[in-house]
Amino acid sequence: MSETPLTAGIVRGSPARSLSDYTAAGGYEGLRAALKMSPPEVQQVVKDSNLRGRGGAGFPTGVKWGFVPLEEPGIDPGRGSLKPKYVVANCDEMEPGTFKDRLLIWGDPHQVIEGMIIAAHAIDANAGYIFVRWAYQEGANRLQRAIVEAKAKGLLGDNILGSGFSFQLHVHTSAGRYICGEETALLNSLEGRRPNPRFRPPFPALQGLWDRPTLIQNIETLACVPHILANGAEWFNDLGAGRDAGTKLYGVSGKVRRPGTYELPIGVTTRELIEEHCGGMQDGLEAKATIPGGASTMYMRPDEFDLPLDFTSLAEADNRLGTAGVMVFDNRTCLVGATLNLEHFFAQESCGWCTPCRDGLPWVEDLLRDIEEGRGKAGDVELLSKEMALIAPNSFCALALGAEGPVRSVIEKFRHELDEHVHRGGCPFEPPALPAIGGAA
Amino acid sequence: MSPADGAEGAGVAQTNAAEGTPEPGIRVRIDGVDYRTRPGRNVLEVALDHRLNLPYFCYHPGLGAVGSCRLCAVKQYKDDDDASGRVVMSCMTPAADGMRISIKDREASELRASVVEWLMTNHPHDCPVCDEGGECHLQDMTVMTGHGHRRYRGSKRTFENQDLGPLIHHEMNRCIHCYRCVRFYNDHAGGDDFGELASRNRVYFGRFEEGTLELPFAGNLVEVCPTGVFTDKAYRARYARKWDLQSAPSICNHCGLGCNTLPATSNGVFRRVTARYNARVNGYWLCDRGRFGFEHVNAPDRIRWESADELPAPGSNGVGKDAGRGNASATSAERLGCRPMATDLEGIRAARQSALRRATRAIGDAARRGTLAAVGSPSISLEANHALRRLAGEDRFCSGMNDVELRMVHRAVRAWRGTSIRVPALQEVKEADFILVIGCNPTHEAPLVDLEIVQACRAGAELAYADIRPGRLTRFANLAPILDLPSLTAGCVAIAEVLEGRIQRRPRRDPRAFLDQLPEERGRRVLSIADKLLQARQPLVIVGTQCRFRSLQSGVLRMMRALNRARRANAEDSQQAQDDSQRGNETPELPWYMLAVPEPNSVGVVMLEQTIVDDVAVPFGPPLGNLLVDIEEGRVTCLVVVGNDLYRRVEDVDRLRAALGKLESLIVIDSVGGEMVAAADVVLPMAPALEANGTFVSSEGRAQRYYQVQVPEPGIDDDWAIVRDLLVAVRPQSGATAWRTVEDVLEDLIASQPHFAPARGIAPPPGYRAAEQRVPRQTSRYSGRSARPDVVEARHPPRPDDDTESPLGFTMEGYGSPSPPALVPRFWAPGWNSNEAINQFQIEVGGPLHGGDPGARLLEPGDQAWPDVPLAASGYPMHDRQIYLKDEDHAEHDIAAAGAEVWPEASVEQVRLAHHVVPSWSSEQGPSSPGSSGAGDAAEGEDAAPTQRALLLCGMAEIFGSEPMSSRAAPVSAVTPEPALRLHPLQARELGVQQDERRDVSFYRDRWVGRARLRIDVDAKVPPGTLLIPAGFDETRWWQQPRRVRVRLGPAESAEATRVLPTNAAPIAKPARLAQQGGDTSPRPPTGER
Repeated sequence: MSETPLTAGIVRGSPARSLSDYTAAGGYEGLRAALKMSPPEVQQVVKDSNLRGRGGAGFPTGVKWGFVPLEEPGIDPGRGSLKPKYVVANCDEMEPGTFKDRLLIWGDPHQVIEGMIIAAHAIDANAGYIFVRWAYQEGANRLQRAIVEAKAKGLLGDNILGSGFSFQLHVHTSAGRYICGEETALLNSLEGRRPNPRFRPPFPALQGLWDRPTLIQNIETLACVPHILANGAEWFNDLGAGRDAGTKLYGVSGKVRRPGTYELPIGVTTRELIEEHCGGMQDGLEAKATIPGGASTMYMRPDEFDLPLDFTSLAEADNRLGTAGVMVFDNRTCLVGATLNLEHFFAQESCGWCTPCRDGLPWVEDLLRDIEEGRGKAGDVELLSKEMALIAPNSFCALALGAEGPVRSVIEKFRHELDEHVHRGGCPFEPPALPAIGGAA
Repeated sequence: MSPADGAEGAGVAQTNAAEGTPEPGIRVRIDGVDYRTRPGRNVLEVALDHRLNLPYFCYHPGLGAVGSCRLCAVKQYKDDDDASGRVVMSCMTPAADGMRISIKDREASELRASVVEWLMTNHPHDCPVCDEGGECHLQDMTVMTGHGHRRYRGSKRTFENQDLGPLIHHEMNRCIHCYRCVRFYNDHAGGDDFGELASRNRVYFGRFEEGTLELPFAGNLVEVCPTGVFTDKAYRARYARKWDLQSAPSICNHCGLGCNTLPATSNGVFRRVTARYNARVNGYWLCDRGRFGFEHVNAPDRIRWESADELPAPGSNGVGKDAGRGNASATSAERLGCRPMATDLEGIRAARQSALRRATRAIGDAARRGTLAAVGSPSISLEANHALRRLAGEDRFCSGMNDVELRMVHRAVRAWRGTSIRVPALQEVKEADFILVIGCNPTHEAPLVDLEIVQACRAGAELAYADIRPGRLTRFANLAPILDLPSLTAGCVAIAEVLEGRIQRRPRRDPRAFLDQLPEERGRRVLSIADKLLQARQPLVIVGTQCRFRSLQSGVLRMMRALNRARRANAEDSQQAQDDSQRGNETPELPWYMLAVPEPNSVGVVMLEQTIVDDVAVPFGPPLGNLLVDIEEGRVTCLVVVGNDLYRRVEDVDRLRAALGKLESLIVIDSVGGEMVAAADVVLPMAPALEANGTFVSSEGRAQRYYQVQVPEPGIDDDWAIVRDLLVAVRPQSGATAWRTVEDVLEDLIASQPHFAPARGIAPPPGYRAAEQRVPRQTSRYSGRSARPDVVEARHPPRPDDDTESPLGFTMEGYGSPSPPALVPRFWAPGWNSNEAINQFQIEVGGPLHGGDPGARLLEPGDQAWPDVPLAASGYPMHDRQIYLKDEDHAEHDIAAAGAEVWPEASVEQVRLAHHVVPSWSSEQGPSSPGSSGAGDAAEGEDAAPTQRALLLCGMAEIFGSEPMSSRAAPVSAVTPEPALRLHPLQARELGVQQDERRDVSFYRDRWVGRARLRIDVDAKVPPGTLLIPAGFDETRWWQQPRRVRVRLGPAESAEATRVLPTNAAPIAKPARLAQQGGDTSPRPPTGER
């Protein structure tokens, strides 16, 4: 039983782990175990494991499974297949600074597929879709190949392993917008519609894909599931370092010595992550701030670097673990410029459905650009703060809420940088030496 | 009737129950005040229901709530102790009992102002030059939220606009992204050539590429758009601000649905038509024909009095052919600028007197000799038809409809009156859960029915669409058989057979054996449709009149009767089965039956003409065909024709021309010129519906009042008033001298035909006053100065006209609001300048109007037995049983033939033999024997076309082009497709024609021939053996009913006549028509699926 169950079988730079290698290392044992249980029993194991969704919100996975109606009243069991349920894997991974799902589908697609089959069994669904980011074409190909492999061995398709349970799995490649990662927008996109988010309620667990009950899970979450079923809930609980269960993929970017994806017990601190695992900062640089979980979380100052990076601890610190894509900012980086860059992303990726996000975020971007480029005026920071506070909670989906994180925290924690921009009439930092596009990684 | 009574009587619709406070439901506390509402309403609706000014953009009662604009934010509190609360979108928050809400809350108010501020970061401040200015929802909401100071200092994003065709103007920069346009166009109406493109603040609402919007309801974009993105292109061309528009409630006169409209005029020129909300009829919507087709009123060929110089010399006012013609005539004056004020009022009065005198003399003379006849029209008011009937006598009054159509409407009205099938209101269509459309293309014949069928389908209804051509609705249909008319008829009878088998519990014979006679697939369809009609909660059958195929309607009516009985039998069975469980009585819903009629008063004039004999309505007057024979044989010497172009009603126009020439005097009362006017001895110009008061009875049997929007030129009167003047002169004892208003005429009608009594309450009486004042046609801000070139005249406006006939006034003086619903001249309320002000007129938002929706239904179901009494008691026998497909006893015979073909001619021919109902197309040649119809028709002589067999020539209605009045409007004719001959590839090969050729085509039957120059459209979806041509176009006006014809093609097309077109080119340019219209507009795609 590995301490890094998700990545133990992944060899970077190699082709995906084959089905035979995967089964030799104990793969599909979780599925065999799950198929011996009833759906509610599987759900109970996942509940007991305290697995929380790895897509960003950290919602308890087992609880979410419990929301899907197992037996729909009024439906003739003989015609059950006419009223399908779905499992959807969200591999849209477009959150800036996040590159964990990519590792999983490139390196060990069977792990994800096994997780999906178990999840489908747990809610009695017979069809599933893996929604893959448009840029991950190679990953989608690897998934597709793995599906063919699994089907050939009777692990997927009709009557899986003779259990009588059937599950059809399809890979769908996104057309490529950030909003497609929002689960209801993803459903619209899968249905061939414009990816605008849907109003909730009804929640997807009751009315999702084509208005049928749908379970939507992040790839990493699903990858955890086989190990929980194979090794037990208690084992998974013990993996965590802090107050949450299991291991977590931390994707570290920025000017550390060894950026990359690390599977660590959930609850590692920022300082450990940078100093021990990433080999510290590059020569002559200090870490000035981090963003712990992809673009839509809050900046952290060095005085918060000892906070365990888990869902519970960060929530208590008015922050979020998000996708655990840790961006490290060094002392030569302008945080106003960094924030502007992020807000440009959010304004650009707004789907255009609701007013605050569509028309408010470009204004926020505009204000930040004015400040960064020396056109800032007294009162602009207050205006920025006020507008962001109006935009975020009043928009239709969570996109603007995510856009709020960097702006609010840069104002709260690095106000002096903003003020300095306004007073000096420009950016005090040297322009960053960006690597040429397509340059060395 | 006292004024107060009038106010109440103004809406005797079905909605009275909804008036006043809703039944004790739930209470919502808003800013400390409890408001009653009912479950299912959202908080925004509750606020608007109670006239609380809560701003909103994306919500629209007709389109629902989606929560995208975030403007309708309110504060919601958990309970009485909750001090902080949380901001929610009121449109997405269902009202719940005991809920506590604040609109005035500071946080919510700030957010609402911010939403407008965000929208204003990109909205151009071009209000002074924007068409929407003054009736802009964005303006209203901006003022309502209080946003006034702009803090954004960046640049505004800009878009390129698209040319969306001749009807809609596009100005994307003004867009505030409420998504109403796509929600109407795509979601509500099911259009697919428009949409939202791109993302972020660059979302673009338009077409994938420039081009005319294909949806025939695109004009509604103008009304749903809360700002000036989509505006009325025709209105732009002669624009006036909303506050400078004079308007009055009217009824659309371009089809039979009776949509409520608000035509608006300024300086004597009609500017535009917008929808007048009616929760029972058109809701918020209009079709593009209704919206853009009004321009016949402005048309240069309106008949007007010419100056006194052209009056005939005194003494020459004889009745003969050559005397006195032309004192009223069509002028070619360009009338699009400003209405020329008549200066020679004396001369006009004298001319009118002279014409009336001559008409009176001719009519009186003929009446004494018993040779007078009158032709009314389904396009003029009920009152005028009644007055005309009084003038000529019941047995001398012809409704002026095409004979086949007349019979079809007769049968439908008889079926609706008092029996067990019901005609639904237009807005009820969406409640049906199974809809069978048969022999009808609602998109083209009754456009708004199409829109409501889409709503039914969206709500889960199943649609079976059976017609001779695929249409827009095919997309929504679960079953869409495209068959020729005889096969459709056979299908109906087959369904009836199946249903009748159910009634008798034990089938007369094995239905399988009988269905075996149909092709297998058709047999399955028949069973499936019969089953759905039987099982549906609310089945609806829609039939068209424009197929002009009587046997189809007979088959449908037989099917309806069988359906009703079968549903009752079914209900009894299930009740017996459930007796033990003590279930309540469940009578099944009455099946619904709709008939699409082409003209605004088709049902009214037929009801008028029906006489009740033994509880059964029978037609009385002569059909047009008989009338022609009477003229030819000298039994009629003087004919009065009102508002009716008979050249569009008969097949053999040469025969009509000859017959009219035989008359001693032809008196034509009409509004626009044409061949009738040219042939007339006396012409009296009448006001079209937009300039007159009157009553139309819609296809629902709903009597509705329309009012004069502006006073026509001097000497031009309401249709009924001219006939009254003649009646007074000819029959002084008739009592018509007392007729001062339409109400007086209506009372006279009700006295003789009490079934019109419900129409009494459709509008307040002329003496009605609110606060002792009239309802003003002009706005309280009327200046008359906006966007007019001739300001000089505005400074010296003429004295306003008086209105002695209605409670409306022609000035801005009066009691503006609230008016009784039938009198609402515009939708406006303080703070609500756009048409969103409709909210302020409704009992609850999206529901009935205060005072009840205008109009009264004259046809309600009852317990009467199905009318299958032979129709003998009438002056002109209709002999239904012989004309139409045989009822029960003979059905087997017909079905046996159905597998092959049931040709309608066989029965028509029999009728010609047996009775003296003479088809209007017939020549003096004796009738052929019944057996000789069809393929074995008589030899065609030298002219015969080289076709091996006769083909069934069918007409198809087109929303643009088939209705003659709207075709006079430039925007409509700009989108009218070029007339085409659509035929199956088999026939194309047979005739040797190619796609997109222009050919002179002659259609022969006996000695009759119809000719037209047509584009050839080869379409595999057309049933083999059927030829389709657009009906009602100038080129095809002779087509009156399906005929088996032989085709002869003109000489090979000349090189310049046939334009070289790319193969498969969708939009076919239409050079001739476009050139006439100025040619700057892109054409619609050819006749076909829209």
